[in-house]
Amino acid sequence: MDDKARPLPTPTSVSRRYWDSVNAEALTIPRCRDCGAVHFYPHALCVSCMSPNLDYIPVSGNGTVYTYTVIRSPQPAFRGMEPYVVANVELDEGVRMMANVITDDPDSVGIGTRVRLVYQPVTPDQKMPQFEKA
Amino acid sequence: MNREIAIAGYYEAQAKRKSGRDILDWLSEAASGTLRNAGVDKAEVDGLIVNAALGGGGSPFWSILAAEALGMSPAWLEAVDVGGGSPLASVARAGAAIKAGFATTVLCVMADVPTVEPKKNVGYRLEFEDPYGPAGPPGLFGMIVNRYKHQYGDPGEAMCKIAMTQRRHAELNPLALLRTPMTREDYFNSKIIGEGIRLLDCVMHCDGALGVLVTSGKRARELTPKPVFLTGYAENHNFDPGNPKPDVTVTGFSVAGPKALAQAALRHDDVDMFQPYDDFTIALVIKLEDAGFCAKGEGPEFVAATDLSHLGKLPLNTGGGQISAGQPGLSAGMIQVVEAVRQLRGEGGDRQVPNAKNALVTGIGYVNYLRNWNTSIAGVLEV
Ligand SMILES: [Zn+2]
Repeated sequence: MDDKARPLPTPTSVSRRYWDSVNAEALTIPRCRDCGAVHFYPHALCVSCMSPNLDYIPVSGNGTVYTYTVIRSPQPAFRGMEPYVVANVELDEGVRMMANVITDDPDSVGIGTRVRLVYQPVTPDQKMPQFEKA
Repeated sequence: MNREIAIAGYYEAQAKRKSGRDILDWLSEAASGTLRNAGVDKAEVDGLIVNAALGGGGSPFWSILAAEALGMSPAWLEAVDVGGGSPLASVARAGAAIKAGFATTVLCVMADVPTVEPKKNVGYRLEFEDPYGPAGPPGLFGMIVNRYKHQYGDPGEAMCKIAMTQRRHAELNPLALLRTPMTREDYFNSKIIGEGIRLLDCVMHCDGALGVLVTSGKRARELTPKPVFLTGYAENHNFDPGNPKPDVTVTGFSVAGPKALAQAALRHDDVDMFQPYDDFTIALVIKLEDAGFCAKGEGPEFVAATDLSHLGKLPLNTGGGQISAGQPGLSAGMIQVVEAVRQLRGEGGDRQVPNAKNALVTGIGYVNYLRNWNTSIAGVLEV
């Protein structure tokens, strides 16, 4: 792969259902039908009890920054975009996701910042979940 | 554990950036160097362990190719793939094979060439991390530092002292790559990669190879007047996996650290030196806490109050660690093993720890999705 091209997600047999929900702008996360545990990113089984019986449930799109960094010295594919925020966002549904918090003022983002989900088109066929300050 | 398993010889190649050398070239140097140091014939070595590497060692036939390249016909052969934990893990796996009777004398040789052949990510990172540009491990560790700071206060001064202490040790280590003295200003003025992590908190990739020879305690005593015994050992992988909201400041070292010390019947005050795997300075603050040298959140105070120099109360990475010696990819964990062996044999030169009888050595591997590192390994080496 070209070092300078932005890496894009390639759905697998495990993650396709999740990425389909992202592309439909109705993000869902896996929840175990047997023990009720939620998890993220999507696995092929429940990481709490190893049950294969997973449902995908919708999320509110509301979350809080659990932790974050502001990238000031990026890898080649992201040069020119710095400074930008990479965050560990805790959704109100109780899972954490990595995403960018898209903002003109990266230094205004911190632990505890409330954020909401947005969908960023990265190719004509693929969107990515991202966040903005709520 | 008792004194059934020992290290009878060691070798560390002079690491180099962009060496242009093939991984088998490096591996061969470490293999012959280790045998020569131990004073054993090739014919006596009936086991071989190599490490999965970032560059050049990723083949599914890797251990077989290594045996072929070294001209060996081992009775027992393995490639270890627990990331940066592989070198320390190889010593314990060699010990297990010897106790099981599969082999009597095992060559553990580790090599990697990440600056010849850069690594490629695999698995979930391709879908769930790389598209967001976290800038690799420095960004992932930056998120850990920022959460640590939020929960317990800024660990920056402790990270600075660790970086400076290790650099001072590197100045005394002819094999270290970064030997220019470092001041407090150098540290705080170094470039921020991702908020929370400065350049001087990070390791620098290089190419290199190291090895140790593992055999029975009995045979080691015949080979050398200074055998170094593995007296405690514990692993923890993928700490706290089912928890969707883990505390990212706690690691599997909270399990493996105390367990290895208990096996060796050592209290924290008994530890003569600490040789921890150091990919980032914050990892050492967290490991001091998780191993139980101090309570969670008190690592910065412990670092401030403790002389970590080679002449101090708890000598820390006396060869400079990977951060100042250079990180030869996934073979780098052997830097800590070899430095502990060197010190315990009294071969530490200008940085010799006086009267060292034991060392706590660690390995860590991989960084999990929005958690801390995956593999935590602790080992106790003693003379
Ligand atoms: Zn379950």
